[in-house]
Amino acid sequence: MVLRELGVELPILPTTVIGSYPRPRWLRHIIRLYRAGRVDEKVLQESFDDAVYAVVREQEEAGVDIPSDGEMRRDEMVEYFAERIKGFKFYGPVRVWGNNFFNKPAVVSKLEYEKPIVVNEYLFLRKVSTRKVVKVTITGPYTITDWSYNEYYSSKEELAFELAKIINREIIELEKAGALFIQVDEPALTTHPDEMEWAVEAVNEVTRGVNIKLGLHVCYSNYELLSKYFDKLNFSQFALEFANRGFRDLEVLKRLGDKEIGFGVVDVHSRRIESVDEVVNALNKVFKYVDPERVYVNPDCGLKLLPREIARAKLEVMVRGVNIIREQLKRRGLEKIVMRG
Amino acid sequence: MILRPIIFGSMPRSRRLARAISRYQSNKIDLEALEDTYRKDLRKFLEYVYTNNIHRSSDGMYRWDDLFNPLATYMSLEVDGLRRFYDNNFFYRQPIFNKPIYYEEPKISKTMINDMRAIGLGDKLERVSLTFPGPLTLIMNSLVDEGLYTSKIKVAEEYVDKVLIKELTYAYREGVRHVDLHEPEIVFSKLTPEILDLYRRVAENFGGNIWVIIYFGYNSENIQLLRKLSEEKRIIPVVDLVTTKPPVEKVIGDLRGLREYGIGLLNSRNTKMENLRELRSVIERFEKESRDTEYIYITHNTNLEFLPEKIAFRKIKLLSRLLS
Repeated sequence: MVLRELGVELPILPTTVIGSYPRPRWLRHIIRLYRAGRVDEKVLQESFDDAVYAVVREQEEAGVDIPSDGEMRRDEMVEYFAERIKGFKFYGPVRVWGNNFFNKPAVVSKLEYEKPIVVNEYLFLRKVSTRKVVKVTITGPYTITDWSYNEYYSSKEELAFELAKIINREIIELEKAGALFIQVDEPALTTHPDEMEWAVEAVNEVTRGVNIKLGLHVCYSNYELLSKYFDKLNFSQFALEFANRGFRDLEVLKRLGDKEIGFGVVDVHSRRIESVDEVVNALNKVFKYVDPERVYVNPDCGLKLLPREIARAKLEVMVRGVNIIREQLKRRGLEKIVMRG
Repeated sequence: MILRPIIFGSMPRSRRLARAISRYQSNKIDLEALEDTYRKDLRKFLEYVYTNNIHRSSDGMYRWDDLFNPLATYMSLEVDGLRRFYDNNFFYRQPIFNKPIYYEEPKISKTMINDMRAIGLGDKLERVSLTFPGPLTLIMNSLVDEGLYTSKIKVAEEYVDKVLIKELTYAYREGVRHVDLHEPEIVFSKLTPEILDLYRRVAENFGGNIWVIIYFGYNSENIQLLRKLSEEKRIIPVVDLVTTKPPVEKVIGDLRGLREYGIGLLNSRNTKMENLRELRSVIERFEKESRDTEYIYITHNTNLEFLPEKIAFRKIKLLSRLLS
């Protein structure tokens, strides 16, 4: 895959998020009221909009260059898409860990793309953000497949490819609406090593005919295995979690080739706020494997499970660390990059 | 030959129980209210099991967060961050063996026995199984301080000696006759003579049946090793016929000669209801070709907790219909 310049200039080491951000307390309250039938859909939607204003502003004030809408409207990354694709059914929640559940969907009939799923989310985010580029996240076909029950298709592979076509249509709709940067989330991608070959093909299917920047986020996974497919995967960027693993496994980045890393520098599973020095040290480590021009900087994963003030503090530390390195790079004449896709 | 339906492992945690746990953790209800909810769910499950003529079942493991907790806490261990439980979108807290196990009392069995008596099913103790992680699965999914233990097998030995034997001795005295050791790791790691010896030790210290429950795949070599041990001890292997769909004739061959064994036929990781006719034809092949076997236990392939609650109950019903 040869990367193309997309004509949008960004500061070197663009800072971004993976996607989710803690919902404001008041929004959680409104959602509870809505579920209890005490407020209507209009109030709920207005609250989602207001929450997007709040969290985008928060990211921008922290200094993030490429914000998301914090996935304010999404309860869960698979459930949200399954609810909006015809052919899924929900039988009830299943536990994921401890006392945490998700509504694991079941595919009970042929899947159909009925209408755009997150295009309106993108358009609203575009209106709210002051930044040149915003990020839209979409759950990838393999993860939706792996985290669903399959009652209809003859194989998991067949289901994944069907979903890939649907996600591809959605990405094309987003591109038409003006989106510049879409991140496909595939946390399950390396879960079954024996399925990797066709899983990679299915994930690539979502990129067919797309001409904007596409990133792939894979977290808490086997990066040694993933890195063997860096070249095959038609994505210009891999957003990976490294803080949680103590910045081990960086050697896999030698296989990146010309592609970029979305480098996870703060741990979203810890409430401890990293120091600026830790961020600076992490960046200096990654530069041993990847040139600064090919590094974007982000938290390890979505921030939604953290208390809001900690999420914000982590973003601030991340940006302060990046700014220190930017000063050093400026002296080498490196100030800007052009976004590539 | 007799075919018997059995249930093992964890059932889905109900919304009611989840809410009660969360309310208890935020001090909104007291311990008594939480206990009451646990026991309501246990009673609902067991009544359903008995109504559907299930030969024996676990207690649904409603008090467990995962296969290792709360046991790890009872062993005075620390637990680390979340780890994926094999290839599932299900995570567990990893036990850390960085100090010797301290296990004061048989808490798992005491709790289960008290629960059974509290819900008026004390007379059914011999039909309910106690569940523990098998020694191999425990050590392969834990962090072990190499300064403290020279090898992982030492941890497994300590676990058997200090925890399992204490639990099993108490449980047997109180009337429990079945113990399930969950050993998915048998699919992935070599079953060494040391581990086999640990099963032997467990069996020698328990007068009832030790069920070794193997899921997430099939490992023919290890099953054959386990079979040899099962021939001499009251160890009943239960194997997963769903995940990797091992050839039926291969499984029959691996288990041939055993007096009793279990086969997991219902898929606990898919909501689709199985076709009874297809399942019956598989069972018939086992019946036909396992003439030395007295009992074949028919069950699901892994924990029912991987299903939504209502589907898990439907699968139990289906299991009952399969053999009715």
